[in-house]
Amino acid sequence: MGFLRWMFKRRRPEWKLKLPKPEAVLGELAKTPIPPVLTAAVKLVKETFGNCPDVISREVKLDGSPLVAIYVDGLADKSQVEKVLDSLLLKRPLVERAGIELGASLKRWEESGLPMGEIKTARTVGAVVTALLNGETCLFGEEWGQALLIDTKGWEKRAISEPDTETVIRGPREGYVENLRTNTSLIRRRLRHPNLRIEHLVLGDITNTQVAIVYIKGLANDKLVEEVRRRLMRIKIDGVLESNYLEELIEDAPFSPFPQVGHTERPDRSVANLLEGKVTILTDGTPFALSVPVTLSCFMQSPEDYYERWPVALGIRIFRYLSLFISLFLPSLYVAITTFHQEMLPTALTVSLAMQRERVPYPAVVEALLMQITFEILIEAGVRLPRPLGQAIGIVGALVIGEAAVRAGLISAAMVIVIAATAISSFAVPAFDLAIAVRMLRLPMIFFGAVLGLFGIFAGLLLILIHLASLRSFGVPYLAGWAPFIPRDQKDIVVRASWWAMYTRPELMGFADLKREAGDLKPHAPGDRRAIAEEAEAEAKGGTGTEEKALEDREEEKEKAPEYRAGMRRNVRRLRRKGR
Amino acid sequence: MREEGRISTWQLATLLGSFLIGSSTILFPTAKARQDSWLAVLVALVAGVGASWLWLTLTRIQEAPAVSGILLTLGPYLGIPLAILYLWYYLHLGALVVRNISEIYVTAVMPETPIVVFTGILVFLAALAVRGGVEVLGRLAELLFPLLVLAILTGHILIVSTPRLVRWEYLLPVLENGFAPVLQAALSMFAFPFGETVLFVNLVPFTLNKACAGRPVIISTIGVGLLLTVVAALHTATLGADVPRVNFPGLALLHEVNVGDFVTRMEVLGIFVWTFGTFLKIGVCYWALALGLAELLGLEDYRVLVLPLGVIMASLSILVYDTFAAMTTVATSLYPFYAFPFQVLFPLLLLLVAFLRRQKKKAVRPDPKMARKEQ
Repeated sequence: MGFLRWMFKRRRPEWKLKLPKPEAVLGELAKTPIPPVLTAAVKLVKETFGNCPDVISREVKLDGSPLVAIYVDGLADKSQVEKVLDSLLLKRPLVERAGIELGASLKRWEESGLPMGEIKTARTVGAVVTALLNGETCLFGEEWGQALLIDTKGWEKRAISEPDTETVIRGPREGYVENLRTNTSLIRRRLRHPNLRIEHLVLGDITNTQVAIVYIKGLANDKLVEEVRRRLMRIKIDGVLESNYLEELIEDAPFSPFPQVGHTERPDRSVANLLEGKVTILTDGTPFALSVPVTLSCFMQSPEDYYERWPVALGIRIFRYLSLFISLFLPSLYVAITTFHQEMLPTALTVSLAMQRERVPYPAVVEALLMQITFEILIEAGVRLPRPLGQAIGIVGALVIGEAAVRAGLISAAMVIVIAATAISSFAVPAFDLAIAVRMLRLPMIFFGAVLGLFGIFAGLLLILIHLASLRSFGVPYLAGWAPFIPRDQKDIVVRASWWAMYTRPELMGFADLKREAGDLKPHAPGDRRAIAEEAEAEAKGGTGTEEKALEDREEEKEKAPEYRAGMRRNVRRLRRKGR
Repeated sequence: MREEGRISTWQLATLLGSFLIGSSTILFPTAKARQDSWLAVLVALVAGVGASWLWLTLTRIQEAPAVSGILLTLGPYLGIPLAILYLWYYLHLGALVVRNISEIYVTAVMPETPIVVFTGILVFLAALAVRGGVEVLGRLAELLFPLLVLAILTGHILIVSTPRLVRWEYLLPVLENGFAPVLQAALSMFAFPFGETVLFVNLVPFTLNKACAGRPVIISTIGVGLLLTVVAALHTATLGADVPRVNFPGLALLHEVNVGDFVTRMEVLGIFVWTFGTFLKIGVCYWALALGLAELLGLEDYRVLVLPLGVIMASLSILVYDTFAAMTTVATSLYPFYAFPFQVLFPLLLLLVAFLRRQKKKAVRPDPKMARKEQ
């Protein structure tokens, strides 16, 4: 082993970026103070950008002394910039009347000169360049030796829409967009608590992508947050275009087929994760947020599970697990049984299968592999094609694979059914990356089943289980819940208990504050023994009984009902008259 | 510590349960008791609980895994030979179990495949698990044990629900030839699954809550023992008193399942239980062997030993018997006497010495807390 490792060890050169970092491009400029002479300062800044046409400067004369505003067209919001210029021009008469030398006094401008949200000052050219690239407007004045950075960020962005990858029947329809600030606001709007922490990092030496670590202080384990920070900080890469760049650089077992970082496009799901004590990582430029740590069971949960009533969610989730097993084992089991263990099936079924297989010219493995590969290609083609063509592919696939192949005697009908059932089952797995992992494992499983029959499948299953049992995601065992077995967490793994029963967070993630709700939330019908007891308790405390109050309310409503209806009728009549 | 991982008491209990289920249902070594085999299992269970209590006490006194414990208690001159003996026992036991399960596959499932394929793959998988450490073993046990129990229960419910299969009168007459054959059979049964739990001396020190390790061990032993009793009774009740004439009674039994002409031939359930049960048993033996050898040799990490030991174990499993008949004969009549010292004598000896040493230590250097109390 040691020898092999030595043989194949890559001697990596020390990491070096070919393109110099922005600071290096600026070179000396980065630390150069802004020259006090206005024209020199403006010239310097514009030359740094190579006199690009989208770097725009506008000069305003104010009280005799000139002011220059520079901004990058497209990064700064036009209307905001106009507001800045507007206020500069409007100030002129004011300044002249008051006789204050606003034009010369930077301090005054900073304090009261501009009606903008965020104003900073910069002393170096480097800071000015960074600010310009962030969409800020820089204001230069004669003899200032500094620049005023005015927050005018605003660029083209997609509107918030429903995510395509995680659609739900019931539940919020908002999805993340490519803008980091919008995404953090989507989280904060759902989670109004000061303990929500958003930490910013800049990753990618050329792209300078903003990355946010989001967590709830006091709920997320401090060590976990520290670990996330550490793993993100060690990333040195030229660019981060999508959160997967980060995912692959921070996961625990880089060679595992199983996803070890969860991702979602839904802010409600992120918030649910945060409430469980997880950490979410947002990346600018992509609507996919990462969440760590995850367990295998997290990938089998759909946000919808929590928005439907629990008996529905419970049943659906059990079927989901069933479909996971089907999609992993059905083809290999079929191959193993038809090849080696015909005696395991009832006689009638064996005969029927044998009759179907009679016309097929090759062994079941070849059949299965052919079908499986065709199916994978079809899926891939369907994903890439434009939507109208995708349907055509579907028809071709169904006809070719389904009817024609069986008629031609190339494939047995039973195999078509097996592959179809497998395909459908694999789409029932809510997390796409887990479904893909399972799809990739299916081919070796078919191979195992074909070579060693049932023993091969058991061996394959053991291999997968051993791998899963040794996997961890940010310190949390991947199979947490089952192994290590946590009785308290069973309410949200294979089954989804009712909301009044899920009174603790997952133990290995939310242990900082385990309790999530009051223990006695189960509702009772009025007249129920428990309800009466509760009422008595409430009365003893001095309040009126809830049931009585409800009854009173209902009576009142009944009394008001005719009045209400009459009112409505009146309104409708009035509206009609207006319409005419 | 050479092993960083820790297991929970639940993991310990499930490991023990899977260990007991493991290969014991493949060959029920209770032939001598004929229709009273279930009684033999019960007697063996009582003895087994006693043996468990014995090694549990040992772990409480030693507080170190087996090999270092032995060395600490007996010193190098007696300790090293005994440790080597024990390591040999682990290796041999592992090899026997590998052979058991491979033999099933070769005899009953895939007769044309050479046995080395099964032994090789099983040992390789066990090696992967052992490299993952005791945590991985514990987690696998936790995952698989409920499935094993479920499969056993399902199998037996199906057997009972098959019409005209179970004849309870086969269990009569009870104690036809007196108690002697039952005791003889119980001795084999004690040696085969129950006494072998002495291996868990290695695992208890790695349990998170060492003080509470005793109860789950005993409960798990009793639970699985009762399950085995039911299994033994059902074997007799379906196949008659001549169970041992059938190669694999469990398989023969499941073969007869027929519920509504559709649920038929549930051998797969048996194969499932045996494959995964023995896998865990092999894993425990293998891990104990690797860890013990690393302790004996003073190695920093036992993982370097895993693959070489696996090769030895796989080869030994092929060499250890010539035929299937030899396997059954050895398991029933020879093995109890071979294993008795490892399962009872040596632990007793160790316990005695450890106890005496502790007494001596106490006498020489009284505990300061105790001294204060006395004042």
